[in-house]
Amino acid sequence: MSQGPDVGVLLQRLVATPADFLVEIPIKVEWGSLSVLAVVADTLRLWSQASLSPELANNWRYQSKQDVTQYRNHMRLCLLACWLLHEESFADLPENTSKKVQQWMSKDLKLLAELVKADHVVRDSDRREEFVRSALRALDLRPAGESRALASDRLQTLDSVARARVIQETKAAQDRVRKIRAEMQKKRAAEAAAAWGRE
Amino acid sequence: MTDHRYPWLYEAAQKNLNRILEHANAPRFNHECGDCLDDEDYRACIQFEHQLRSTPVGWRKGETPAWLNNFADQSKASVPIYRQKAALTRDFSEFPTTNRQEMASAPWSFVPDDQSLDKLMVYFTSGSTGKHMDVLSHPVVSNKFLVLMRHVLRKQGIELDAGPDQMAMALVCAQSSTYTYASVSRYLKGSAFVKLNLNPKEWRQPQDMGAFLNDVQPQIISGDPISLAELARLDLKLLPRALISTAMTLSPALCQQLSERFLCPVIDVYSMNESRLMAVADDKGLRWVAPDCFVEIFAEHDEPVQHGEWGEITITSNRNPLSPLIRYRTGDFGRLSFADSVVRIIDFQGRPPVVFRVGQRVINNIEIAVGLRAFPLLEYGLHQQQDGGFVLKVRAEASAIKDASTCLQSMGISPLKIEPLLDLPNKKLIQFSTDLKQKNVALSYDPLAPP
Repeated sequence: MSQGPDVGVLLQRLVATPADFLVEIPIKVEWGSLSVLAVVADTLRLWSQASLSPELANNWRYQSKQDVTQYRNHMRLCLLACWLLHEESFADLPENTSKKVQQWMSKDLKLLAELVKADHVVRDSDRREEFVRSALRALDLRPAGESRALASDRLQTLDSVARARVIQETKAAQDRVRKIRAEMQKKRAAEAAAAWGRE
Repeated sequence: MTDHRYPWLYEAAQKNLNRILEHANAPRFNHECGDCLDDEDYRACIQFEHQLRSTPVGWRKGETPAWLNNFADQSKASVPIYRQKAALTRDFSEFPTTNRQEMASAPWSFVPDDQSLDKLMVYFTSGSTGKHMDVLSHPVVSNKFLVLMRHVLRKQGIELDAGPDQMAMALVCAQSSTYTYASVSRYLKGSAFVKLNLNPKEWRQPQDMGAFLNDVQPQIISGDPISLAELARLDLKLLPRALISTAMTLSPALCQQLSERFLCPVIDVYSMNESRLMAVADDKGLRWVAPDCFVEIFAEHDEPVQHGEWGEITITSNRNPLSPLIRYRTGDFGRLSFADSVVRIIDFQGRPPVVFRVGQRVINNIEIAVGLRAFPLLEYGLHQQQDGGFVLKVRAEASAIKDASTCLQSMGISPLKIEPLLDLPNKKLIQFSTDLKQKNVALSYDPLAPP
């Protein structure tokens, strides 16, 4: 993990996000002047000239009526990501950065979009820092002036997706315990299998 | 009748069951119980039988069985208690121990996430501390006891005949009350099994007990030492092929008496509710017979002891699908001995060590247990009171009680009050206890080491 830019610099950049990157997303390109796919493709070309495969490109295309809200939020997070990644210290990163960014935007930001609104990423300081640190982790970069352990610890404290997962797992675990206890209650009254020896 | 008790019951086996239930001298059975063995679990039993025949049991000093690391990895991924306690471990060797308190307070935390609850069973145990504990189990666990027991008997040249005209085994109890039932076994091809209470009140007529047992002639009789001794006292013409002693320490003197009375071997086994049969006594100790269980000895803190040192018996067992055990402290103590890949527990003591104060010196329970081994005591509990005096509760013939008392007094156990136990037992007696404050002696010393 090599050293990346200072977190403070990136936070400042997010605070100064231009209005063009904060607009509501038109569902279909022909309905508005903004194509998220085009902005993403331009950003990826910072590191690699390889064009996006149609399959990958679908990540930034409107697919289904069922999740309009989430699609829009995901696209807005991707726009913020593009703005952030145009920070000059990212420019010298190697060619494989393009792949890492694709991964981050299509997978991590999709999950984040279920939990955090794009507006909050700009306005709320914790969400802003979470976004910045999530980008650095995706690019395998350690924030300037921080140890790897400190960076990981700080992100863990802020990580909305991890927190949601923990809550979900806790809920699933509680449901399981409830089911086992109910089954125990039921079976305690019933006879068990014949025991051939005493214990 | 094809209910959950017998997902397999065929006509001949049903007839065998009826033969017992409707026997003219049968006891007042107060419970119903089947083997609950469906096709899948039956196959697991047969597979286990093949495994016992084909795979040698045991491991050499310093080695571990091949299945251990996979089992630990799987358990860490899917069993809540191990996921939590062993999160940072790299393999089995780094696993922390679990214990009976954890099982008692949250038995559900031992159930794997992906394990169906359809076949869940609850066994209640009070153990020797008298504390309530639910053990979550599965039909294969009790049925594998039978598979393993049959294998052990076969190794000693005793064949357990199977078939829908057979009475395979009687489990006898001598208690004021207990569940009694008749059952048939799919694994033993429809053979019958009965659990009986030797308390005459549980029978319609006083003479029924003898008439029933003499008629059905169980091939094998199992029970704790008190019940087997009670059985020996009765005027019965039984010809069992073997007696199986479980649940409590069987003294060598009583073992010999029983063997002479019934003209058959008496097999003392080490078994517990959580995973059932694991070891069988021979002349050198408790020989490990379970290929699906692994045993280690642990010190008080989470460190395995050096080879041959004394400590708590800690088992790892994948036998119970609803309570897989990894480094589970049993509350029993002993040391391991190896002869090639034959593993034995020696100097077994079924309770944590207790130190008694005798004047200015101390004497531990193991010395006392070793001293009393020579006498045919059915059951005893030695307690030291706050004032330093001792009470021995004991169930035995008067002459044996007298000998035991003399022996104890020669060891300095004095003043000693004797309370003979006359009524049928309701619960297990705590064998050694004290009102005096125990310094941290539990595992800080080896009670049989030379001074």
